[in-house]
Amino acid sequence: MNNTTAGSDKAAMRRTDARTRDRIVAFSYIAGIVAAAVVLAALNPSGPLGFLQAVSDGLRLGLIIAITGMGLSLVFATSGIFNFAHGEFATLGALVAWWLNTALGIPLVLTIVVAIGIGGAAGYGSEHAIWRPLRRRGVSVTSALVVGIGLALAARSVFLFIVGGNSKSYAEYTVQSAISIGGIDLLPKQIVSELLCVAVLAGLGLFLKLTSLGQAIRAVSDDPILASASGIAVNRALSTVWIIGGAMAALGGALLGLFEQVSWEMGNQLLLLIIAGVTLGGLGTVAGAVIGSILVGIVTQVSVLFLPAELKYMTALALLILILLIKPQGILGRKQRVG
Amino acid sequence: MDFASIISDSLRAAISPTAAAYALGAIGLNLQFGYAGLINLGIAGSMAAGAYGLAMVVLSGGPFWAGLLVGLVCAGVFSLLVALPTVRLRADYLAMTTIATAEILRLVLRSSWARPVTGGVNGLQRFADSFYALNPFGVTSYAIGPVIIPGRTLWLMLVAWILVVIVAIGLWAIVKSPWGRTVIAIREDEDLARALGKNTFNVKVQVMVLGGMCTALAGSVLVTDQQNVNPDSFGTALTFVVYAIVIMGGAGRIVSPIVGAVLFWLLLALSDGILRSLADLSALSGGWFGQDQVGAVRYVLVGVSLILVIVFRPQGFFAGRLPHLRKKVTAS
Amino acid sequence: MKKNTAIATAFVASVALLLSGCAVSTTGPSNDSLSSLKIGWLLPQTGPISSLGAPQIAALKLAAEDIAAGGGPKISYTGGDEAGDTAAAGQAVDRMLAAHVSAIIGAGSSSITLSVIDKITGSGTLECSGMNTTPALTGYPDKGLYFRTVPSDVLQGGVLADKIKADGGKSVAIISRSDSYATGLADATVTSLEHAGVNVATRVDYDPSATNLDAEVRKVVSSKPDSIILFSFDEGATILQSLIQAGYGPDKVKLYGTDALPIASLAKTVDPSNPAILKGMTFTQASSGEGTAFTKRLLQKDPGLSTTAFSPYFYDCAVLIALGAEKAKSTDSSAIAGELVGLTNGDKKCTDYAQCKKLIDAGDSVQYVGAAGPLKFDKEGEPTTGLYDILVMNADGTTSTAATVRRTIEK
Repeated sequence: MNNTTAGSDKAAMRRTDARTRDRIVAFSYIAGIVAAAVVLAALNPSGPLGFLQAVSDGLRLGLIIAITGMGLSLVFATSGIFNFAHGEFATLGALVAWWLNTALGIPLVLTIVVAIGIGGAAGYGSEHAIWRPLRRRGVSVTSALVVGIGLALAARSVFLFIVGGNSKSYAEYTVQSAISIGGIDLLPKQIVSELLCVAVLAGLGLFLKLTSLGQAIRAVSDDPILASASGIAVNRALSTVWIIGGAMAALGGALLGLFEQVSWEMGNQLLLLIIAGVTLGGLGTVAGAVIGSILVGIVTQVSVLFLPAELKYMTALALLILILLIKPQGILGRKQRVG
Repeated sequence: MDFASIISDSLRAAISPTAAAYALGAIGLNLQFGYAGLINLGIAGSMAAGAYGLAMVVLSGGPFWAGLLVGLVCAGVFSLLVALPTVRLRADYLAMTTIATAEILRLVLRSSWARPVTGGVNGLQRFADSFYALNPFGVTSYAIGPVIIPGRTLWLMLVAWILVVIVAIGLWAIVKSPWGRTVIAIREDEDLARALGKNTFNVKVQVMVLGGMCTALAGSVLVTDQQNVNPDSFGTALTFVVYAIVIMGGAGRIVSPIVGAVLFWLLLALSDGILRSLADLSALSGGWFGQDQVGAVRYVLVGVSLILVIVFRPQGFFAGRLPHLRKKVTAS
Repeated sequence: MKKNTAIATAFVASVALLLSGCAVSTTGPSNDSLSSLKIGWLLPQTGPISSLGAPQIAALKLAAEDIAAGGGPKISYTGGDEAGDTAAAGQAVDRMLAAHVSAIIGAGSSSITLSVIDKITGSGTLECSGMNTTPALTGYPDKGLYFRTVPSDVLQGGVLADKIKADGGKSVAIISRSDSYATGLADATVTSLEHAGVNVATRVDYDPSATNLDAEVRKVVSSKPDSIILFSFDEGATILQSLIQAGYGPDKVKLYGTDALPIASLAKTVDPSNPAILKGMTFTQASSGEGTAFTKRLLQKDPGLSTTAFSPYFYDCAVLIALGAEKAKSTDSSAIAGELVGLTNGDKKCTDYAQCKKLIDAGDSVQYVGAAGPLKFDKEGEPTTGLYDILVMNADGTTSTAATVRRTIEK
């Protein structure tokens, strides 16, 4: 009896040691990146102010990528599915917000709220109609991948069919005067967008940590078999994840429409950046998705200071490969994903 | 609705050099993904490497066959560079990184920095003349059953499908060899294979390179058909279509990707023809369904059929044994 | 294994069938009676420039009517969607070539044309486009079978550069989409600007699939230009929003754009609450013949068209081909192609099919001056002269034509 307790104590200590080691490694990566950033800031042709401006722009983009991609990461964490159609939730959100705003004249803020609701409903609907039956059949990871691709193609084409190929604009908040804070230009809508993103992410974090449903989700993502054996309503947890994911992605898409044109393929264009962001941050982790996405957003914007603009996505993708070379699970990825 | 021409157009698409090219690409992907279980989402990159290798060599004065060889080498080198850091990654990360590498290649190929060599956004043209100079059929058209094919296309078709047969036979022999059995063993249980002393890393890299070289031929056929190399035609959409073909044909068998390619293009052209006729008909009755929506609806059909195939016949239309991939989707 | 052998046998059998000459050879278009003419068209019904597809199809239909009314052959069209995708366009071309068309009118996009031109001309078929403006097609080895009724962007670049210089521009920034259309035009403009002694302060080429262009805009404004040129499609609206928000709106600098921008709806898209947002912005476009008889007729026939851009050029392609067939008394592509250069450089001017046909039948040498004005093909089949509108944006979001400039390539 004594041996087992001592043994399990040792195991617990080893686990904590491993966890701390992981955290140290992760934070040293972040520190390294910050150091590189400081060097770049000093050396770049537009001066430190230009650098900070690029970082600020990148932060805005990165936060939007984070909330859009969060659903992708959560779904992956809890059910092992990498949903290639996730970007379409963003397009849905943007198109809904745009249509209600321009065709019915409803204020944009309200239409964005509606868009969030519709995104959540779409997430729930796709889970029930498509992904749950697939899971029941025990379909393989790659088949699920292909289903996602097929779904994305179908959804995109439906959007194209309905709204046409031209890109569109909201009726409000299109052009604003920038506020200058410390030499950096910030648009009011940018500040609102960033604060909103941070609030949503913080809310998500609290939800996962404090509520029982949130804890159920974390349990499922840690070990689904154990979770269901402990009586956790796995199905409910999964449905919630899809609702949250769809809603957040719809919000992300709608926010994106404030800064770019709304079009039938905007989600698909964002998808590559989302993939880069959540992967290099660590597939399946919430914090990793946030850090990775922000990093991708900033790197993309900063690279324009040094390299031709047409290669700016290349830098983000190269960063992805570089980080995975050094740490194959991504910055905050756990060494072993269960399931 | 002119069924005769719809059917003949569909048959033409099914045996076209494009179908042969996609068959070659699917064979290569099938080796990487069906046999070795490597989710390579960047085959568009190795196809581009093969295509650009061919075009660049011919445009700098080399003979066509040398271009094909260099294309093979380029794709092999590209796949090697991609494989070295990625094959030891877990499946999902491998998938994401391969997408990234293919996109990086595409962005570099189309950049103004690379324009002197790759033609940048305009791409490269006029490299297929020496190939078509060998054409014995001339410019007249030939009728094969109900299908009418111009002579130049017929020539490429012949060469391309012969290539498909050669590659398929070659790969079949390789798969039956001890090396091939190691590949399958790695897919079934990599830890066991490693425990038995196999260098799984090396084998996986070899699979990537070999598969990549097959896709180089695919890329070369595609661009010889169009007589144009354009970076934007080697995007993720291309990779996904080849995956659709491998899935529909059924992974894990040499013949399945070929059948998948033929079936896919047949169905795509069929739906295109039917939709176009519907659009014409609707134009007569008020235009509820316009020509410009044909393209959208066609892709909806492609997406939906893909999902249906996965749901109702996950082993594909023509699979041999069921590909037992290790990781299954979790929960409930 | 049985399935495998069955398939292998089937395949070998089919190949054998092929090789045994079971094929029946049918030659190309050999219908010598000029009562009908088969023409294919390859246009953007879907894809990034799909809004430019419908006007051309309407123009081609109108041409067929005019030709028939003028005593010409009945034109039967075989249409295909270029779909902004080289593979789809290639398949559509295959279909048309199999239908033995005498000519293919298209494509809309320069990069699509680059991807099908060898296939079309290699099979001995004529191609004519009213929208390909890339300088990359000048001097392209096309066996004398490729023509365009719209001039190369070398001309438009010159018009734009002259306007900038005339407006007093000294330091120009360029932001250009990185694709075959925009890059060629940007290059031509840069060359003309340098010729005119105007300094190009910076040039930023951006990825067309980029979702966000703020960094690019910042790069442009960091060079503190007094004039900014946009070579963009729809995303130009976002670029303009960023420029205005960065303090570089039309009130501070001189802004220029081209016909690839959705000019008619641009002000509304940039800021729906302020129609004067782009007041003063200048655009150049290949003259779409706004207000001329042709576009009026086209809109009468098809009032639902959102734009008539490029339609006169495609109309002229169709009429020229029919005239070529009439002059050569044949529907053979090469025969028709051989006549086209002469038909635009002859002695007697004629402005429509009926008039030209009469003169041709009387044995005269004609110069077709059609909906797009005089073409004067050089020996490559390219117009040596072009008409360009210079538009200026008003306070209500509409544009007025400030000038129409004819530019001719110096020999």
